Amino acid sequence: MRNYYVALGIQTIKEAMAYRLNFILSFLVVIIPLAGQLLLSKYIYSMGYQIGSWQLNQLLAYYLIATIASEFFSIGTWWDIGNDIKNGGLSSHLVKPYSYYWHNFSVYYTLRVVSISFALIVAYIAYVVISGSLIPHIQANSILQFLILALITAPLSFLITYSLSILAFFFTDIGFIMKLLGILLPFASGNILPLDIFPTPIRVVLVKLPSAYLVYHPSCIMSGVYNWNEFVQLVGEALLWLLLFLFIVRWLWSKGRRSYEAIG
Amino acid sequence: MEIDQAIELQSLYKNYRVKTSVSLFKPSFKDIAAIRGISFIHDTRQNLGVFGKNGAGKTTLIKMLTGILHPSSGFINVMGYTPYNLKPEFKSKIALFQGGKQNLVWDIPAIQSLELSRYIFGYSKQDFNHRLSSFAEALDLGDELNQPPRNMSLGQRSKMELIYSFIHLPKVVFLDEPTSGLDIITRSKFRDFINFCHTEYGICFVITSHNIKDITDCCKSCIVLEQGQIIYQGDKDFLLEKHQHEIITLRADSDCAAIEISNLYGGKVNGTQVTIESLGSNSNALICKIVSQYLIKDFKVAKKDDEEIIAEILNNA
Repeated sequence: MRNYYVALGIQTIKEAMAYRLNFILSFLVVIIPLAGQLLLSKYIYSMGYQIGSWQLNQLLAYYLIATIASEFFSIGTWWDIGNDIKNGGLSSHLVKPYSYYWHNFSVYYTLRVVSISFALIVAYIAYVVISGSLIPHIQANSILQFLILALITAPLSFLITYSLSILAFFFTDIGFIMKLLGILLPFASGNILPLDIFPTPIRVVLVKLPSAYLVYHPSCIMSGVYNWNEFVQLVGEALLWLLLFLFIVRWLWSKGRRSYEAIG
Repeated sequence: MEIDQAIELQSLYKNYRVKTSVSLFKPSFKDIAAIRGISFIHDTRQNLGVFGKNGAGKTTLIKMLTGILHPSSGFINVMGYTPYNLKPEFKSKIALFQGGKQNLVWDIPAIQSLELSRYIFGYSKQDFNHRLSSFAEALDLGDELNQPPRNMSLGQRSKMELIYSFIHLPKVVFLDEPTSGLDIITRSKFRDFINFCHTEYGICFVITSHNIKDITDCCKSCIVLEQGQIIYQGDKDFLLEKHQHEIITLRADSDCAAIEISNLYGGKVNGTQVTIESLGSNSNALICKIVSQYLIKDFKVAKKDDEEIIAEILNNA
């Protein structure tokens, strides 16, 4: 069956290539907000102000990594799954001997790997042009820590997305979740501003939410903010979120499957 | 009949919960029974047709047999498996084709999507090529295999979907309205293809369709569903024969004679013409009787076609 998920991934790439214009325009979605963040930060620092305890170089590197991390680890409802459940498309998957979860995992991460490879190049060019520095402020240790955390955050981000999407078993329309997340997530994940600059009560909550492990913490790691002790604690917490969402997904799926009405 | 060759249902029920009023705080619901305690056993060495009006429960039944839906109560067993447990071994032995549903990727050549089946069910490239050429020949497909579904007609797309649904050669294929929306030629091609796969590969087809010929041409056994209950299960030919009506149209030598014949044998009069419906195949005896009593200038006997018979059964149910 493993061969199937690989073959599906290859097919997903071919399908993505069939929509070339969408693909090219998606770069603009990456580059425009990033350029805005980098230019605004430079302007603020040039006026003599500072954002939290962040040095300008650190902050520019933070935004670069946050952009890339949010491309890869972003969460939200995934329309394919929601529509499958709402319109009965799930039926054709249920009668095939593969796991619907791994089927979607394969498609989800294939699309992300494809888009991130291009986003990396585009984001790096934007960074070099605006910051004037060729090498972001990143240490070798940080890259190792980032990769270790990515092994947890990659499945975590999919589990969160999957659990939100299969809420379609219980609600007629899950569009409202998408809208709410679209507003809250950029703040809660640290995509717009590093979470440590928020007032203490808000910060304490935000940095412990699962969204922080998808963008804020990976970006802080790459900016060299955490020592190894803090990093180990971070990994432990991320693992707890992973286990919790594994349980939530299993529970929602088994409850939802029983109530699935297979419309159409 | 071995258990791995049987489809068995006992007192099967399926209720749907339907919202009856929309309210922000307390919407109300009621249960609607789609399947009401049906029981039957079917040997999967034969095809099975399911007749029924819209809303009779045909699709719900198919969805429970394939494991997509959980029954509300009752026993269900398909080839030794409880379908809703969705065991991979069970899923390898069945296939579902729903007319009008799209499973192939819209924008890449169909053959690339079809080949995914090989990875899902784990069979060789050689088998895939062999089956594909055999299926494509039976369905008159050629270059279309290399086109994306978005560039195909509905008929071509349906043929591709049909191939995709059971190119892995399962034991039982469930066809839910397979010829819905197709033209008469493509419908006929589909039926030939179903018969070809049944004979050549021993696949059992369970078919629901409003195109009565899909069932009468492909199935020996049938069930008739009405409001979630089985009103007939058994041989399809027996059912059709039992409800067969012959329509005798004859021309008497005068209006008076026509009225007399109509009063005696129950028919409709139009001038000298009388039309009599005769249940079963006893029209010969009836004609002999009438001819011995009256001067008949002309007569003809016509049989109702299968579609009319099934429509009548469903209407009278």
